[in-house]
Amino acid sequence: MKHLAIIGLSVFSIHCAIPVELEFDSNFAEKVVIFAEFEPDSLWTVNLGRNVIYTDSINWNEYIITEATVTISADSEIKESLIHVGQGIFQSPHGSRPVPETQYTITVNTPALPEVSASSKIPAIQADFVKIQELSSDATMRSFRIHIRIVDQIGQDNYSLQIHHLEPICHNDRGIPPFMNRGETTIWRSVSFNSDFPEIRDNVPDINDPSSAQTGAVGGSYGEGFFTDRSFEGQSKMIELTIDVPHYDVLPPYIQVSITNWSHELWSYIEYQSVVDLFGPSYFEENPKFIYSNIQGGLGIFGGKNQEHLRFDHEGASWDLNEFQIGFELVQPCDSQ
Amino acid sequence: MLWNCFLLSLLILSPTVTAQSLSVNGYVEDLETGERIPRVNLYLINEKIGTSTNEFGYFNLNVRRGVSKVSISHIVYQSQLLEWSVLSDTSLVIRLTPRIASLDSLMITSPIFGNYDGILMSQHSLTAAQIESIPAILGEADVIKTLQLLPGAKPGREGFSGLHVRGGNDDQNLIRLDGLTLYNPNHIFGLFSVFNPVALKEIELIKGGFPARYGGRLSSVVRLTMKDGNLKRFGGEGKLGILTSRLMLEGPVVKDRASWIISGRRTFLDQINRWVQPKEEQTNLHFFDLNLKGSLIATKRDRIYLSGYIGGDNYTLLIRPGGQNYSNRETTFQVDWRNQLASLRWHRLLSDQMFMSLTAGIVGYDIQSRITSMEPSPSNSSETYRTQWSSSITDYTARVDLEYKPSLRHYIRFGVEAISHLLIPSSSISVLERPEEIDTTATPKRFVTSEFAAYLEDEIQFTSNFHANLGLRYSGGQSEGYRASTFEPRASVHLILTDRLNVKASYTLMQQYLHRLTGIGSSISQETWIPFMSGIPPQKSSQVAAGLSYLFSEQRLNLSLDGYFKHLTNQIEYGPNILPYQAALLGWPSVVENGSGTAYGVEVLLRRQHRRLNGWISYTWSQSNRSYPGLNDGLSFPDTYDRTHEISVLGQMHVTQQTLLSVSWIFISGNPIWLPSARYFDPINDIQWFEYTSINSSRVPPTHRLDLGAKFTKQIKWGTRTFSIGLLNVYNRRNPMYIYPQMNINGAIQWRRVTLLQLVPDISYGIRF
Repeated sequence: MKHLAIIGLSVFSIHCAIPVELEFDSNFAEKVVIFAEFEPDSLWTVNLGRNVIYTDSINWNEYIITEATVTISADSEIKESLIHVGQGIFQSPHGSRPVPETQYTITVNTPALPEVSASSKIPAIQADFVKIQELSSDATMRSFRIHIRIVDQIGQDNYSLQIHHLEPICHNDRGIPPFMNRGETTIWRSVSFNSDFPEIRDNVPDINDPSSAQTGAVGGSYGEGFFTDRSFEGQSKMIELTIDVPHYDVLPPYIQVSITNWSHELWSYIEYQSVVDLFGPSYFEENPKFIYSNIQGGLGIFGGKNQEHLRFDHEGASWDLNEFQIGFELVQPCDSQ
Repeated sequence: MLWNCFLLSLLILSPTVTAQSLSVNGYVEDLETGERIPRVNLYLINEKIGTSTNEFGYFNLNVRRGVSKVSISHIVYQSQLLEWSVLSDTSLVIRLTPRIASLDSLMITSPIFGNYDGILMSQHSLTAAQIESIPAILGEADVIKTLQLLPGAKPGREGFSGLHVRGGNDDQNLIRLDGLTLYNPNHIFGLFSVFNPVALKEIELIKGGFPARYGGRLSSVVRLTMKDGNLKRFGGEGKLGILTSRLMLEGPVVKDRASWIISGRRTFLDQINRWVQPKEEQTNLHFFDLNLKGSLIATKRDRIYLSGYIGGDNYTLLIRPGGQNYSNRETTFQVDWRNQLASLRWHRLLSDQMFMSLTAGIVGYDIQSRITSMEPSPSNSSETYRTQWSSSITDYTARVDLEYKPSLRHYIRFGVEAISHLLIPSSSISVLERPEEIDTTATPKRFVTSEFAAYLEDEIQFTSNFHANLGLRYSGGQSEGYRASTFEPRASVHLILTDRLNVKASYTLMQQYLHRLTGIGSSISQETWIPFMSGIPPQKSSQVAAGLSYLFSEQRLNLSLDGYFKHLTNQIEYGPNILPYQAALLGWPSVVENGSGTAYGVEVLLRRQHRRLNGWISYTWSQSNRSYPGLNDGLSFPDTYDRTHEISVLGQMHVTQQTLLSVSWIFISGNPIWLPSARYFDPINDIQWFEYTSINSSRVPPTHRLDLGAKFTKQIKWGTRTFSIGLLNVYNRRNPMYIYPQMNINGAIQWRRVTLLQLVPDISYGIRF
């Protein structure tokens, strides 16, 4: 018993945390932080802020930048000067929008901080719906096989793929919870999918890890799939997808396959998002992993992406967003029917 | 050509061979057990010439015809003063009587007579008894932790066993157990070392002035010799401690001819955890090790040893459905690592002047982490996932060492060594059973690397006051079709200025053909050994050291002062922001940075050797930096284990013949750490990120700790009983094992420390028969 008490005391003494004073690196340099993701037809919008000493208390609203000269240029020619519209957001006053395959450079000058700049472009994308085939159906679920084709561009391209379907929905007298299958309006529901394409992965870092490969026959089950064009560079690639969607009485399956082609800059940013420790450094980890940034002299990301949405129903007919009211904010009470 | 020049220079430098010298050679043995004793000092008092027994207890002294006075001393044996009347070449066996067990001295070895303590500098030797007498963490005496108390040898982290010698990494230590190299000397992520003290006969640490017979690592040599087993009678030793228990048994197979010894050790942590943890979430940690050795005196001139070691660790986290775990799956996370070693050693006295030792053996080290996720009661439709990462290394070693004593003033050693390494740095397996099995095992990259070396060294006694050890090692290797080789010159000189004062100096060049990658911030995470290859050349170090020692003979006090400067090249480190998969995909040369390092420092050791009160005080001031073109903007930064000041005080007092009190106090500067300097916010994804600037530009607080111990020994009818108690960290210093950030309610971040050992009692009970 005495022996056990000593063991208990020893075990108890392990893992006791108290504050610690460090000889902390005080070599802090204030920098401009840029966050801007741009797509075709999106208004030029850039978020500006500053970094802050690691241990300081933070109200991020205090660290936004409101006074700055922000220019977007292409081919050494200024295309647009952005103005502050509030909350550190700078937008195009003339409604100008980026164009695919054009290399854009952002330059930011602020009164107190060094000039920063970054470049990126929107990659081109071409994808087509090929066919859909119903595999099975019962009272609750319907299974489909879908074929799509990606026409790859010259140069390295980095893709992701997501599938959604429309879910009919309404809510009860108290507003919650929403009831499905009544059809007052519709919302997007993500659909997990399997694929015959063995290079698809759940997240970007796994793309190059051979041990993460899934077999073509069975495939993985993806919420969002990531892949590169390394096996079909500059060619057309047919990809088979299989999905299960709920069986609704009031609405047949309306499906949307979204394919995104990411610029190198944004691709690197999402690659490191999944490996950086969100809770700060860990003493037991290998070298710290820090998030990718392409801002010269500053921090953050300036990158383009291009997305293609393929919309078709269970018979392969295309459909348009305007045919439906989509979104939670539009959900109606069920008894309004 | 260079080799011929070296031989010629030895000849030119050599003093005239004395025609009248005669050889006296033989072995020094333990009178009670027949164990041969390494590191026994034999000193010719009139000639002022000395030597020490080698690791097999063999010595060879050239004496003049006639009568010579010789002193024979060893720290755990009663000293002898003999008069030899030598008229012809003589072989003999000297038997020493052990001192009473409780009077085992704490002291590192040093001579009783004269001011001779060997030519080599920066060298310390310990016995298992000495290690056992120091206050132990949780009752477990530890070899590496004892070495950490010596000047110039530093721990990696509070409470852990990492050994960083003179600014080197712990993979740069040549840790040899019975002649073969071990790769990971740690149990429980480094809390204990893998060496069971009860199985060991002798431990030697060399920090600089490496003789040419050692190579393949840059920073230190830790040579451990296992006991041979009692040739006289059956005996044993057992001990119950807080965390571990152990048992050693030994005895003769044929009395005075063949012996055996077996010892084992195991921790009870896993058994304790089973009782106290809920069954829905269990963490278990345990280790074991087993040492085996047999020895056979085949003829008067031949002896054969067969040794084996196996030791392993297992860490398991098991999460079952139930409790706060809402998943219906059972998930197991396991980390295992294992060291295995088997060696065959044969030594033969070829002539009165020549001793040969042949070593052949195999060493294996592997580490695995596994995750298994399954339903507790699998059905036909249930899925089981298994993923596994592993890394392994297997060595096949053959070595021949010869010692030749041609004259009074020369002791020549030469030999060759060949090692074949089979390395699998990283292997991943991913299996999905649903219910058909889908195995997506990636074919791991295998490296077959060979390494060889030949050496020649001569311990020359130019005069009675001026000695030198001059040597040259030629080493080479082949890996991935890439070859590398180099000459490694070694030189140590020793000048006795007065009876009390002597000075030493050394220069060494070392080459290491294997690299280990862990990352700057860690020593616990996945470690990967890789061979040299195109783009990753062998690592090198050159070290100059100089020192003096002064003997205050009246007080039996010895003061030594060593200074060193070491330059390291071809050091590798992961490049900035490298992700785990990139090494396998892009190849190692693409993901590592090739750089250099410097380390320099001063070590002071004041030691007292007396039967009643002995101990030492040591102080080290040192700096260690690394520099890589692709890291830290190419600027030099402190090495992760750069700790500027280190003080250790160790005292031991024999209150009575049965009672031994001991005290130790250590102070070590905090180690550098790479922390973020700033935060910033991504408003699009609503997430904050961290900005990292200078590598290792922050430091954790220093570590200091006072430990007390008492050991009570009693002779009983059938043996000896030992009861030890101790108190670790007496004033409850909360030393940081690691630190982590915690955000307070205002959003400010405060660093917090986790302490491994606060005030901890130590208790153990042992018997020896």
